[in-house]
Amino acid sequence: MSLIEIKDLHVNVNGEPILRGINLVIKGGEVHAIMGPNGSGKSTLSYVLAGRDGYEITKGSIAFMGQDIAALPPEARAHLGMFLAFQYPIEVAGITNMTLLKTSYDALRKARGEEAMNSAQFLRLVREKAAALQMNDDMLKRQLNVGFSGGEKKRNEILQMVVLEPRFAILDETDSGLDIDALQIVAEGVNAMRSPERAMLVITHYQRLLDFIRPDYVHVLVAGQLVESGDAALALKLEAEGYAAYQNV
Amino acid sequence: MPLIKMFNIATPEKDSVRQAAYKVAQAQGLPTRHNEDWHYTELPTLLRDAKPTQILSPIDFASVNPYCIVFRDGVFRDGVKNIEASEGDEAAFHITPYAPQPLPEKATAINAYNMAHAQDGLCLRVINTPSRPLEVKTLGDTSHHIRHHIVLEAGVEMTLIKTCAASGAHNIWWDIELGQGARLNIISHHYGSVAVETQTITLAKDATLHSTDFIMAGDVVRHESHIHLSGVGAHAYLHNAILGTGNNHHDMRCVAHHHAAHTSSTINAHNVLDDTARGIFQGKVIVARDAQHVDATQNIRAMMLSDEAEMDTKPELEIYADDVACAHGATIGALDDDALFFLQARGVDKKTAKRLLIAAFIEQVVATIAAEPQRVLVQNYISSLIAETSSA
Ligand SMILES: Nc1ncnc2c1ncn2[C@@H]1O[C@H](COP(=O)(O)OP(=O)(O)OP(=O)(O)O)[C@@H](O)[C@H]1O
Ligand SMILES: [Mg+2]
Repeated sequence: MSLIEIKDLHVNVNGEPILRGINLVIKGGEVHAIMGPNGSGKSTLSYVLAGRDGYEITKGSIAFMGQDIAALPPEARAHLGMFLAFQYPIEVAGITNMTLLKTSYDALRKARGEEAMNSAQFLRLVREKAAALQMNDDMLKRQLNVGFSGGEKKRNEILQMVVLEPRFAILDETDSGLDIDALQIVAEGVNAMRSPERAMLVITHYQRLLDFIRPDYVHVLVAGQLVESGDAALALKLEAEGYAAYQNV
Repeated sequence: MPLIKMFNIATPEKDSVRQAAYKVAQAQGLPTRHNEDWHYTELPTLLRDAKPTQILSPIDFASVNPYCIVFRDGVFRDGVKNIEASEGDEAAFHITPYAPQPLPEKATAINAYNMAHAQDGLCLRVINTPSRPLEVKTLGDTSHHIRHHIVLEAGVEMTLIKTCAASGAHNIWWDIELGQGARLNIISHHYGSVAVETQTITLAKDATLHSTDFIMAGDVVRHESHIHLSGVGAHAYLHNAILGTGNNHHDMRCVAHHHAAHTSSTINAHNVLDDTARGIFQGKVIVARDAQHVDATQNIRAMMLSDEAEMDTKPELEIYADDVACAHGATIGALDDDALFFLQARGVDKKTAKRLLIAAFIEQVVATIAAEPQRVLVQNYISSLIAETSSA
């Protein structure tokens, strides 16, 4: 069964059409990459999938595991197993990373009818996952992204992903801002999560990320439409030639 | 009986100190909007319109085992035995009976009314560092005035918990003096129906004040602090929070008077206003001519949860010295939509996410309470308060 099925999706933001007929099917086990020029609608797609307010679906549908999710609030989608790693991770003073992780984790478990995990056990789990991403205890105790460098924030998004173990993850330019070593560490974290039940949508501007996270499909998004799809080789071609060929579509 | 009567009551003929104070009070009358300090709080009108209400039960600090002194309806009720019998701390406290004192020059009307009418208060010298916090509770359901005077002798360190949970209208006055190198931590929390509280705190050389003030609830709560940094090397950290809901009127006035060089003050305020509540925070830093190398910051923030809520802020500076670093800022905004969406995207339902963000905003004040047990009590109380009252 496909995890995500997007059919002829049209989305307006502030009355402006931004997505103009997206069709995309993602099955369990697959990694899809979306590349495209600035402003083409990549983040818009990620927000509309995650359920952000203010993104008006004017036509088309989004199904997640066979269920139409267009009317569901973001938390309900998260409960079903959706995860968005933000292009611009937000800072929240007054909530520590650890508190966020525990709150989210408990919320997801509760939604699935599971008991909350005890704090000590959870701390162990988080420490282990954080260590794999080379994040120390000190970072866990700090307030959410406050004072974090750009790369640290991105790593933090991935930590949330590996702790929450979503079924479908959207990574919106997670590679931007990461240094070469961090990119590799993050990619390892992502790759470790790949499994037949899970799928990912990786939004990026750089082919390099796709050397580390090998996509099954690459799509080109231009002006709110997927104008070409192919395999990993398409990313190499885009890297070499840019988007000029698509601009007059 | 209109509450305003609590100010206009006759003083005993024979009591010349009180009578003199009452004359000063009568000459000025209750402050009105024309008084800059009271610009946003028209006290006579508020007193006239106030109705008796139920008040919340306050944070219970019993688990930190404080010395606890209770004033009910303006008179001492309980606790001195507890202080006197304190094992190991016998030598920490010295209490003297309450007696009205002649007013200082240029006393405000509130001060004068308080002196004229207060029947009781805590007169305390802290001569050695007590091993436990001191809690002073203000309770009761009739109108009253009350007047405390606390002196921390040189080098003494203490935590003072001020629990103001009287449902009767009250006017509390605190004079607090910190001797050389003394350190005072204050946690004050207000719930009062109609409450006017003023504190003057004077810091000698190298003394440190760390104060966290919360207006948790209350129809009309007015909290005014004057911090006098009188000795070189004195530091004051003043963290404040207003949580206004319903038709609450919460007014904080916080003035740092830098009289001496090498002193610093931090004034922070995080205010949350919901429904038709009104919040006011007026911060002011005054630096005297000889007070060089002063460092003063003021940061006032408000989170508005309703279109009908109101927040007035006015950071002020009055600087007569030239080698001074002063910074101030004020920001007023709504709940952050990006943060809300983020939390929802992480599986937290909208209602809970809102509460978390409100608590996180106030947490920036709560987090400055150094002692963990006290901090946790405040945190838990505020979380459940937000869960109960927020329209989110
Ligand atoms: N709230 C908004 N109001 C108006 N226009 C918006 C809003 N949000 C997005 N847009 C517009 O929608 C278009 C797509 O934006 P989006 O963020 O999806 O682009 P993107 O492909 O992610 O770009 P980038 O590569 O720079 O991240 C842009 O032209 C943007 O200006
Ligand atoms: Mg984007």
